Amino acid sequence: MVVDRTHLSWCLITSTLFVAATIAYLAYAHSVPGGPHGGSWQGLAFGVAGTLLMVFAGLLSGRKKLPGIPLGSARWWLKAHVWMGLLSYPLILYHAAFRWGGTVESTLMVLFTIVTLSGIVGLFLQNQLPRIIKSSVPAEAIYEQLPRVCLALCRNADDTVAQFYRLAVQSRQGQPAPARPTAEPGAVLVEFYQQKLRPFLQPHVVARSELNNPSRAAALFARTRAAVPVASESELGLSAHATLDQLERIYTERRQLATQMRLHHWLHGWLFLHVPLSLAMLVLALAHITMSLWY
Amino acid sequence: MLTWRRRAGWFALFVPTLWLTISAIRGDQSIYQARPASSWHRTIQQDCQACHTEAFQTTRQLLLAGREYGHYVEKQTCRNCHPQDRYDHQPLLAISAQSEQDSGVLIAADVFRCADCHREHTGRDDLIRVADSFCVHCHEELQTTAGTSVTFASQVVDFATHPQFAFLRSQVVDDVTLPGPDHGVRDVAVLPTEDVAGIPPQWRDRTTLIFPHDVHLKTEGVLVPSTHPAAQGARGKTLALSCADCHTPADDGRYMQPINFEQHCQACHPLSVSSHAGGPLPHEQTALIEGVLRQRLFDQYETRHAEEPPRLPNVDHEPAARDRWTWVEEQLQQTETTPDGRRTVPQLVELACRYCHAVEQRAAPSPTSVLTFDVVPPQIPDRWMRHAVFRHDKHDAETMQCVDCHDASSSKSSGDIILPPIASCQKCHRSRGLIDTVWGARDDCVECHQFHHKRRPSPAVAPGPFVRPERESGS
Repeated sequence: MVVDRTHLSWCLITSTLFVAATIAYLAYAHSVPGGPHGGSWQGLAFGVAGTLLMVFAGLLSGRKKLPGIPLGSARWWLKAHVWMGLLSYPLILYHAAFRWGGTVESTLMVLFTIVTLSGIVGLFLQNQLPRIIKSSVPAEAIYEQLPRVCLALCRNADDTVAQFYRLAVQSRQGQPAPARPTAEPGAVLVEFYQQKLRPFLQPHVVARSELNNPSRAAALFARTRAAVPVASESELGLSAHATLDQLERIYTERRQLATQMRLHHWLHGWLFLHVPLSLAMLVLALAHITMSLWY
Repeated sequence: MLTWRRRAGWFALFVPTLWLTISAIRGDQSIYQARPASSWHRTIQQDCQACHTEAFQTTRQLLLAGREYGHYVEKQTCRNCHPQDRYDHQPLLAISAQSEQDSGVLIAADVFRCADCHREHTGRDDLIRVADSFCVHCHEELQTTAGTSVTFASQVVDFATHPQFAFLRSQVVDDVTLPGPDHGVRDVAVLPTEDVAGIPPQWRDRTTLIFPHDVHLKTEGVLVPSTHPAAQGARGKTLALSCADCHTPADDGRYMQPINFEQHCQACHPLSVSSHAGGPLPHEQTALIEGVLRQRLFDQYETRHAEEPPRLPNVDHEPAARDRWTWVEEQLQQTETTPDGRRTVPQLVELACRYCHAVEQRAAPSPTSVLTFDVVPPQIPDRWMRHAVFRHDKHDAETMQCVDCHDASSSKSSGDIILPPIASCQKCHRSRGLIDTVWGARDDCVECHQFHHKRRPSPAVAPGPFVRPERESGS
């Protein structure tokens, strides 16, 4: 979700509520004997307010599962989730009087802090990464289709190399066998493709592949081209260079898709912290509320 | 990715639930405590219901009882282990007659509960050291049912701005600063109504004793009689006295033992008033002195007339020996030469008493008594500031001298109140400021004041006129 001008009203409301809560807290902290604490009625009021906001923020996932119900647009809920979630943090701090409390309470505060920070990081990533993806991945594909696209690129590269290989076999017919099979320009290209490029084109990229680095990849392609001198101007030589050019285009597209995968993981990976920890937090919060009110 | 996220979600639900379940099975409720209990209550830390006796007290206290802060431990629960043997601070409202019957102790209505001030689960071990804010909650604007308090200073918020001690508040310009009619200072001091030589009147010690400190603390010393141990039988010897010669700390180190004539005064003032008295007189009531005097004279009579020869008829004898009573009476009327002229024994006794005491003539003296006066009780206070506690042993000779607080060497009269102003205490008892690098002594309220008194509140203030500030929200 991009934070744009439509968030301004939310920002103003949240800021106003934050300032009001802060003033209320300062007045209460100054006046209550023994200092502020969660057991005072003011402390409990902050706790109740913060908890309600947290629960409201948590209802976003439920709203997403019920798109048909007319309870406001998903966009509205997402904005509410962000801003009310942000506001809940200082309210809980005011409830706790900036203390971390006992075991359950400390755990709650740690989880709450991680959830809030991960949400902020996620919001930041969601505002920045799409632009980066758009600029650095012109060949962007639908994420779920990426394996298929990679396989299609791989097949395309296979066909290109196979065509070249047939040409190389035809051109060698009737000629004596070379002293070293690898001295043939076709063999260099095929070896390069099989050893380096083809594994890179698979849906799951090898982490330590040289081709992950664009400059190294360019050097590899250049070395391979140098091993196939154009000066021969044979049909095979020209075909080898054309094949290499085609392979380089395929490689470039595949590298962009790899970049897209990485950025997508960044864009959504924070949710692995945010969502599970918020569930854990709700469980502990329920226990904390029950036991605190019981005793 | 969705599948992994769902798995992570279920895992996140499972782990804390498992943890809480295991804790519940083990009966470990300490995980819910904001802080461990103090070491005093550590033995019952795992038994929350030892103090939190009813479920959902928080909700009931806050929503139904209208209390400001939900301290959910009933006073009776504390008294199960801590029987109340002292009186609470000034009783505020109606006193429970039933509670008085129960324990014989005057207990304030349940406006305060123990846990209101003595808060557990704060991580601190010192439950007794109550924060100033609890006291200031009432004392920042002390109110009574009739308005602002006229007995005590109505605004005390910290020690730095604490009002001057009562016995030094004597300015009549602003009546508010004067201690009220029920203030304890009036038990030990009196404020003259007229100024002297244009100087506003100052509080005076009520004691009727005549005692000049400056005479006794002369640097050149005081003249001691030959019977004094320091004189060793010689005349004209002097002895330099110090505070410790008369003022001895009590065993607990807090206050000074009362002045005792026999221990502190008699060596220099032996009460040898007359040669007819047969020695130093006891330091007692006049009736007892007269009895001792007569008994000694009786004994003298026996001694003098023990070997009288038997009387023979028709022989001139000296006039018959008078009966002892008459002889004693005659002895009592004997006069002696004194620097002030000739005085009888009763007159000499009265002069001796008047040397230090105020005396008053009896309204209806007994016809058989020769001492027709009574000594006015000296009323030397044993405690001055009863609303505070003090430990002399903590202000010991290694760091302080008596004169640092008690400027006795210039005091000419026992009416002088030789106690320091509050500024003297504030020199050392002060909180550290942001800039101040001197580490001061504690200056919180409970350093000097006690909420739980030993004394029963006086009837004049019970049932107390003081009211507790209302909850700020008005609810």
